[in-house]
Amino acid sequence: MNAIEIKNLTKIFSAPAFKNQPKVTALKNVTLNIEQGTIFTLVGPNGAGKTTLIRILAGLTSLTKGEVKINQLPLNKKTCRKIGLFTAEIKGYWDALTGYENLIFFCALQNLVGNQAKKRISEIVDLFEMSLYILKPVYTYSSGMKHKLLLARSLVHNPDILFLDEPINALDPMAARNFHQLIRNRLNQELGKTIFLSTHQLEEAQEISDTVGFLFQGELIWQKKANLFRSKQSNLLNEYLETAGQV
Amino acid sequence: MTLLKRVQKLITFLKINCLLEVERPFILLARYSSIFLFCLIYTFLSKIIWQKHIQLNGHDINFPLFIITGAAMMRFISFPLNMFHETLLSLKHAGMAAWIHVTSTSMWELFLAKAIWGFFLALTEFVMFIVCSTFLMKIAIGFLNISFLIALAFAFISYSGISMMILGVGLFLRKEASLSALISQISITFGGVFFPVALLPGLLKTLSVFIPMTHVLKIVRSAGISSEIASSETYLILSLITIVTWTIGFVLINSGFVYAKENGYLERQL
Repeated sequence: MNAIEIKNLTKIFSAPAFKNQPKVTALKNVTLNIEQGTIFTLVGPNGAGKTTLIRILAGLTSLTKGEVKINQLPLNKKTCRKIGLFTAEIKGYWDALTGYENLIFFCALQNLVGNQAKKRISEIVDLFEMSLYILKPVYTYSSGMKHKLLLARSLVHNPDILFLDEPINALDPMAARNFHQLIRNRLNQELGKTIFLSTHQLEEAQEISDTVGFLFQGELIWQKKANLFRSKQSNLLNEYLETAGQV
Repeated sequence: MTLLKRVQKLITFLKINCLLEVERPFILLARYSSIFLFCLIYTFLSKIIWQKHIQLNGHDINFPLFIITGAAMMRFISFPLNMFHETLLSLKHAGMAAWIHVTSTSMWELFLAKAIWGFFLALTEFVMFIVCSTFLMKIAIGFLNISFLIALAFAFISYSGISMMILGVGLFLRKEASLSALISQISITFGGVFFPVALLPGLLKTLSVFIPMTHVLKIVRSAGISSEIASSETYLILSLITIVTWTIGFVLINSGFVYAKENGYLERQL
């Protein structure tokens, strides 16, 4: 079964009010299906439209044309609740509050209050091994800890699908590896979440994905099984550079 | 979702507002101490103008009462006037403005929590005014007077309507409109805060009719002069202004969010 179905998705950004600027076409007729319980990674140069696609799929930005289905239902505010969004580009928490207070707030936003919220937070804290610092203010956290908090935020309502927009930016290699393991082993394999990831890290894409897609100037140029790259039948970096050069 | 859960949720949001406010105590302290400073300056000035009276709506009102009610209301409206765009700015600052829209919570729930918190803060500041004016300036204002409380409620609601309009415009213009400072200044200058509206030239006198502050002060000062209730016309105009600002504000905010979502800039600075 497909967790995400995208058909002829187009996104055009209009010019700001009272400014004489041209419209920008960020995505052109993107069509893509992602199977439930798999990891899909989207690669592509800056400005390709990766973040825009994730924002549309997560319900943050509306689409101009086309169709998106989440668990076979049209994308709307209700189906958005099946989705968790992680984006390292945006802060996404209150620095002055503790991790626990932040999670209480995120839970309330997802209608989890009182004991329900406490129980869910305790599950997440155990899952991400955050117990040592969860009661400290977020401004004392390292980048890795903040990443875990953001991931925890996206999971408080136990979504089926998780969107991760460039998740390992600003992480050192060790923290990045731990983060990968968390995504692959805990979230995907143990909990069966469908994961949609965008990244510039080709090694990351090759290692943890089931499928890799290449987006360039708003168009999905190709999508291939990641095991082709892992088994060295093809080289992802070469494929990336060749495609970018040809297009 | 049950009502109990909704209340629990609202309390959670209120707690977060409170925690965030406690993290910046100096801002609150500055606000309260500025009232103290205001009273001290006035104590000095009052030695010169203590016995002066002003004609207002056919009544004589002593200058201290005139000025203290104006100053108190000037401070009071700053909370509702900034309430809506401050809520969004604070969410933007934490990077959550767009994300909130895909959670199970509506922005209006957060606005409500902020409104309750804002009303509480505005009220405490107002009490501070009353305490300072009683002990430092020897002007007793009976704030438990019902007209007074109605005026406060009207001031809060009508200026929160204007605040909605400000946020709505800000969403369309893609930048913080800075309108609240302008509206606040217009209210202070033409709403009869520091001098009677009757002194304004003709056209500006007409403008003052459309400013909620003019009518709020009429109610407050009527209550202060002889504990009398202001004319029903004042309440009617104030109600009309409130309905108009709330309606326009509501429409602007809702369409503003749709516009912002279409153009994907809710995460960026207004």
